[in-house]
Amino acid sequence: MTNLPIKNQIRRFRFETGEMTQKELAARVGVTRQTIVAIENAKYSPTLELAFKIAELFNVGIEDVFQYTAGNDK
Amino acid sequence: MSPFIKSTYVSLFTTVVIFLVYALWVFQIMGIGYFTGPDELVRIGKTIGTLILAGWAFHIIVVLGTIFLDARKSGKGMHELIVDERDKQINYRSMYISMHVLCAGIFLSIGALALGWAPFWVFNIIVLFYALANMTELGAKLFFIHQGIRA
Repeated sequence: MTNLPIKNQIRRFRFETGEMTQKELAARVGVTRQTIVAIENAKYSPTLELAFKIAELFNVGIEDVFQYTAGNDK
Repeated sequence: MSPFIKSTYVSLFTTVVIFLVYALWVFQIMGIGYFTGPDELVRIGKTIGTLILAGWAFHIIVVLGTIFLDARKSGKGMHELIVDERDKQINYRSMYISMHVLCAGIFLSIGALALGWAPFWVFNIIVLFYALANMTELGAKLFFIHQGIRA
């Protein structure tokens, strides 16, 4: 599978936010734990809405959580 | 294993079972000779109708039963049973791929009809490709689940 062009810092922010588990994060943004796992492992790019929900939950900007790496876009 | 993955594996199992039972019933138990003669279309129609109704009932009961029993046993909440955006994306892409298999079957059956093949074989080409399309869809789902999916 080609690497997705969007990297993320979700794992770091989860640990910084009271060591939130993937399950807790998933429940709070309305997706399954498997989707959070897939996003963290760069196997799925979330929709804009979901990306904003995650960033808002961590109280940071969306660019702090997700980074677009143009070179990987194949 | 998430309910989504589990239901996909179980669906694959029920699909194989349903079409194996159908093949056994039609080709071994009833025999091709049963589907010839003046009533052939009625018999073919009844057999395929039974396949659809009984197959769906079996599939729904087994898949839903597995999911709910598993949820109860593992203590998973209703939240784990939702179909979220990634699941929908996987579903849409898998259905798109399987649609091509089904369409190939429909075109082949139309070709068979044009060539004058017996109705029994024309209908069973569609049944065969419907089974293949189902398995293609489920196989594609498992591929996207494990390998990842990109919009």
